[in-house]
This record gives sequence, C-alpha cells and structure tokens, in this order.
Amino acid sequence: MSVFDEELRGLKERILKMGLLVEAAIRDSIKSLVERDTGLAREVIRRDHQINALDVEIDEECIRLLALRQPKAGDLRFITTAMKITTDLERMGDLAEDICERAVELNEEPPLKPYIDIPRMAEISQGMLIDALDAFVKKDTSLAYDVIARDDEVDNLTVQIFNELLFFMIQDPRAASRAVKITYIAKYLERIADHSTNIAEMVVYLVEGRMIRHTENQ
Amino acid sequence: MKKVLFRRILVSYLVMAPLLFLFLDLYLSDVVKSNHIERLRESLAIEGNLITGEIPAVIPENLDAFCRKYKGMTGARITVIDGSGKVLGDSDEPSAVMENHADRPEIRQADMNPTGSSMRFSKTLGKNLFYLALPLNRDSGRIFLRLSMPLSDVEAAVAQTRGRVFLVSFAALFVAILMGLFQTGRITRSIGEITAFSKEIIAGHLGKRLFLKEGGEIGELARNINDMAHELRARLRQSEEEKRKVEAILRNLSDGLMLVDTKGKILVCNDAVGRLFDIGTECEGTMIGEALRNADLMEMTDEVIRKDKAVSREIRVAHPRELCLLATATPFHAHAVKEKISGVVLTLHDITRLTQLEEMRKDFVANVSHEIKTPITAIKGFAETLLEGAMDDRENARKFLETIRNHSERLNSLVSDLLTLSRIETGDVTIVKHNVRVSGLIDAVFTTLGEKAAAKGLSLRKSLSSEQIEIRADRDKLIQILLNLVDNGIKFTERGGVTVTVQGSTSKAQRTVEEAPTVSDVRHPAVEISVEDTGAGIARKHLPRLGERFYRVDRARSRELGGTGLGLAIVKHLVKAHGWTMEIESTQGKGTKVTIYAADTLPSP
Repeated sequence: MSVFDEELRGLKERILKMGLLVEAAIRDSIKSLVERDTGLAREVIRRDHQINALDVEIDEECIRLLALRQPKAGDLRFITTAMKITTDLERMGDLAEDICERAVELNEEPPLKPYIDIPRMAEISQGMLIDALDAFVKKDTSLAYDVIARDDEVDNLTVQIFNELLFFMIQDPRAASRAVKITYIAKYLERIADHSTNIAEMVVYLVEGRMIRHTENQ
Repeated sequence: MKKVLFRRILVSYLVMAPLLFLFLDLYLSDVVKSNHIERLRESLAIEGNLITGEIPAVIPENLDAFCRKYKGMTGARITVIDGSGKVLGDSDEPSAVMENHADRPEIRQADMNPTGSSMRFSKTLGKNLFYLALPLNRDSGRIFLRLSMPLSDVEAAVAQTRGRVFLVSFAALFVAILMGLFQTGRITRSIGEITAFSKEIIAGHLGKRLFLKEGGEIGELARNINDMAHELRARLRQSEEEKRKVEAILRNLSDGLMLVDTKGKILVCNDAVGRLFDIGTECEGTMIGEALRNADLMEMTDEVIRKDKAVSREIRVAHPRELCLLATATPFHAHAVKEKISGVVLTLHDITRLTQLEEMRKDFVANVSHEIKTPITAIKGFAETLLEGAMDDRENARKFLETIRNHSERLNSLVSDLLTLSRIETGDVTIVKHNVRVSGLIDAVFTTLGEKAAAKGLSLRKSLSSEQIEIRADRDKLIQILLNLVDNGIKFTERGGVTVTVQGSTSKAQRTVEEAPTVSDVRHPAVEISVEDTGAGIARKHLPRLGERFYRVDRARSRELGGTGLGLAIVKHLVKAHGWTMEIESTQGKGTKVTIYAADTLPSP
C-alpha cells in the first residue's frame, strides 16, 4: 500500500470518527431531553469543541493532500467529498448542541407532555447519519439512495409535531414557550436529517461521479 | 552458479600439470646431459692417458697417421698440438693446413690445469663437439693431446629421456585429469545434493533427511545439516505450539482483545470483540473506526499513541446494542529496545450487567428510603399538629387521625410487601400445589377489587375457554398474583376495563383420570392466564426493567395511585416460584397485557 493510500485511509478514519462523535452528540442530546438530564446536555455542549477540532484537522489534511499529491479521478473526488462531508458533520454537531441548549431550558420547566414523536424522529435521523457514513465507508450507493428517501419521513414528522404543538398552544397559552422550543428541536432534527441527505448525495457523487443535488424537480 | 567449482578444479589441474611436467623435463634433461658429458669426459680422459703413452718420444714431422690409428681404436677424433699451438697431427684433417690452436679454450685451460675441456660448434665438422685436452710435458717442450667426440650421442640420449618423460608425463596427466574429473565430480555432486536439501529446508520441508555416501568433511557437513534440520523442526514445532496456545487463549478469552497499529489498523482481534460489536473476526486488517464504529475507542487509541501511556475508561456502546464496557488501552512495543510505540493493545471488559446491578441497587436504596420517608413525614407532621393543639378541634382532629391511619396503613402494606418479597427471594415461601379451579379464583379477585374498579367506571371481565379449567397452583399465591395484576390494570386504566383470559385444556386432567386411574399420572398441560387492560401502556424501553423492585415508569403518577412499586416484583417472583414464565406486552396508548404460562409438567405428588 502506497503512502498516499495510507493517508487516504487515515483521512477516511478521521471522518468516520467525526461522524461517530456527531452521532453520539445527537443521541445524547435527545437522551438529555427525554430523560430531563441537564448534566448530560451540558456535557454534550462541552464536547462540541472535539467535533470542531476534527473539522479543522480534516480540512487541513485534505488541503495538504490536494497540494502535495495532486490526486486524480476517484482520489480527487474522495478528498473533495471529505471536505464537504465534514462541513455537514460540523453543522450537525452544532445542531445537536442547539438541541441541548433547548433541553436545558425545557428541563427547568414542568414537562408539557411525554415525548413520543421527537425520539422517533431522532431515531430516524440518527439511522440516516449512521447509514450515510456506512455508505461513505463502503461506497454503497444503494444505501445512500435509501438515506435520501428517508428524508421525507422526517419532514412529515416535523409537520405532524408542529400541528400537534399548535393544538397545545391554542388550548393553553402558558404552554406556548415550551411548545415553541419543542418545535425548534423538531426543526433541528429535520435539519440534521437534511445534512445526512447531503452526505448521502456526496457519496453518490464519490462513487458515480455525478451530482444528484437539486435534481429531483428536473 | 553453474558448476563453478568443477570448472575451477579442472582448469587448475590443466594448468598445474603441464607446468609441473615442464619443470620436470627441464630438470631431467639437464641432469641426463651433464651425466652423459661427465661420463664422456672420464672415458676420454682414460683414453687420452693411454694414448699419451703411445706418443713417440721424438715427434715426427707428421703425426696424422698415428692419430688416425688411434681414432680407429677409440672412435674419438684425436689431435696433437705443440706448445705454441701448432697442430702436429690430426685424425680427420691434414694437420699441415690447420690453423693455430693456441687460442682454443680447452687448450688454454689445459695449459694451466691437468685437463681442459670445452663444448663448441666445430666449424670444421659442422657439429657440436666435446673437446678434452691433456697437457704432456716432454723434454722437447709441452705438447697437448686433444680428444673430441661429437655431442650427438649425448643429445640423442637427452632426447630419448625427454621423450620418455613426455610420454610418462602425458600418461600421468591423463590419469590426473581423469582422477580430477572424477573427484571434483563427486564433490560437486555431494555439494549439489546438500544445496538441493538446503533448498528443501528453506521451502519448509523439514521432514526430509539428507543421505550422503560421502565421509570426511563433506559427510560431516551433511550430518550437521541434517541435525540442523532436525533441530529446526523441533523448534518450529515448539513455537507453533506456543502460538497455538496463545491463539487458543486469545480466542477463548471472554474479554475482547485487540491489537491495533499506530495507523489504526487492526492486527489481531479475538472472537469476543466480534461478539460485543456484532461483527465477524475478519475485521483483522481493517481500520478500527471502520470495523467498530466507536469514537471513544478511536479516541483512546489516539491518546495512547500520542502519550505512550495506558488509558482506561468506561465507555458506552450504542450499536448494535447498548453496552457498557471497561476499555483499557495500553501501548505496545514490538521491540523492547526501541522507544517508539508500535501499536496499542485494547482490552474490552463487558460491565453492562455489573453497571445495571449497581444502578438497581442504588435505585432500590433510594426508593426504599423515599417510600418509607413519605408516610413517616406525613404521620410525624400530623401527629405534631395534633399535639400542638389541633387535638381539641374535634372535626379536624378526626381528619388528621384518619390521614395518619391511612399513611400507617400504606407504610404497613409497604413493609409487608417488602417482607413478602424478601421471603420469596430467600425461598422461605413454600409453594404447595393443589388442583385449583381458576374460574372461582378470578371471581374472588373481582369481588375484592370490584368496588375500586366501579369507582373509576371500569369493567372487569373474565373470559375462560371452559369454566372447568383447573391448574395446579398454590391457591393463596395465585390469588395474590391475580390481585396484583388486576389491581395494576385498574390503576393505570382510565377508560375501558380489565380482562382476565384463561386458555388451555382442562378437562384433559379429568380425561387422564378417566383413562388412567393412577392419580400420580395426572398432568396439567399448559394453561395461559392473561390479564389485559386498556390503559396507558408502557414504553418499550421500560419493559425489561419492569418487575424490578420499585421500578416505575412514571414515578409521580404511580405513587399518586397508591402503588408501592413492589406489586409486579412480587408477581414476578411468585410466578418464578411456581416454575412458570411470564411475559409482558404493551403498546403505548393501547394497553398492557401480562401473560402467565403455567406449564406444569411435573407429576403430581
């Protein structure tokens, strides 16, 4: 195995690590919300710097490889994909942090209602991230397409949660501030799912060499 | 390396042998020649001495005739020369025409010595000649007698010797080359065999042995190589055995063990790791992040590589199932001398069960204290209020006293539940099984709880496949099981009701009695008793922990409803004491169903 191959392998490993950290952050953020564990929420916020550091590290490595190795074809696509994926992952990490901030606020107030749809949404979003990373590692486009397809499910749930919370707000104006925060969280999760979709689209680009972004309407 | 040895030996033979023979020939021909000349000189000297006696005292004018006469007798050319060098007589040439011989080397030599000799090419005869001169002192003056013989005889003798030497030499050379060829052939063949054998050893065929006819050094070499192969085989076998041992230990280790290089590639990975992360053992050679999908382990590996120091941490694994692992990462140095770290050894100890138990214990202590503290606080508070004067306020005093009684009842039921539970757990409760008709039992339970259900507007229904169903059970314990389950159902249901369903055959017991009158043979086949409500239901993640003491899905609500948190725990233990199994199914918002499989296959006592 050449030095360059080793470097690419190391890069892939870094991205995977970042993805896993993000996935753990999302999982813990939802856990802190559902189990009303403010300590865990604060820990997730505290840990976000790890993800940011990895983002910088990976970007620098990508630029170094581009400058030094002048990669062609597949390798070039891999490195550019890596740069885009880390951006998405970093944003997802920030969204997990936002969820935690809302969770800290919500935990200070009495529970509005047991969370049912939010954990489901989180589960789907997490699954999408795990599968998007899996697709990236295995260069599996069918899995990537599957991830992209699942985004609709999350979008539907967002609408459903919003309607439900609207009903709560109409019934009891005092619940409004909490309901809005929960709506925010639903929105954050929806954004997380969108970023997973982006990653999946980049995996398709990586493997097939064609961009499928913004093409569904054409 | 194509027969270099053979060629070298042959070439050296071919060069050495002619050189040797050349020297031999030169030496021998020299010896033969000087030998012959010496003999010639001696015989000529004797002949000369004899002839000198015959030379007349008064020398005539011409001695040619005299010379010729003695040439006929000796075969040598004879010349007589006087002191001045004038030739007095010669056997071959007329002396009168011959030049002065005073400057001839043999004459000059003989002038000073008893004899003089020389070898020259005679122009007169056109041959190589040997001359011997003898001085002869007469009164009339000095004269010299010179005898000469052609050297052709000597040369012939030398040539003959040389010819023989050459002949013998060639014969010897031929034999030597043949011998050389044979010997080198033998050696190179032996060496070839040794080479082939060593190649076999390199290829790993250590079982083979080398058999050489050769003795001596090469034989010893062959023997040593054999011994070497033998030793090698033994060592290899030993190390292979060691390796197998280590591998067996690794594979059967219940803890996960991995060796990762500094790049993050997995070098060794045992089965336990595969079990923990639900992956095959073929992860060897892949990257740790790719195989295990765990950021904590990656972080630990990085940390150990960075700091070259062992790290130990409790980590949580979310996929494929929730686990709590005690992970230890230690630096690995392949070469004891080299300072640089060459990898990381990761050990993973599964402490999921341990942390669960720990959590349960903590929860239990906290719960018990809390459960007991609540009624005690209330009792204490109301008692104090009464003492502080409320005693006189008859109406309120009664209310307070009632509250105190309620709380002490609650405390009482809590303590008795705890006692029951601990009795069951320690096995103090004996289950005495009788044939029990289930239908009547359910009626009894419904009677007890009827009022409570009616207060909430819930219906209690039973559904039996047959009124006659009987099971073998401890009557009181079964009532307690059903009481707890139905009570739970009532507590967590707002609309609808609780249904007790009993399925199974009954009558099989009776049939058996009819068919085979021996009572000991009566067996009760599986009976399913399920208690179903239409309540709130329980989230899936709580299901495994239901039945733990004090485990509650919603703490606040349960307490509000007057539960002790021990009901299901008691049911669970009683079911277990009967030797039955229990299953809880629940759908959130739809209700919960608890099913007891009373499969009593034990023969009746």
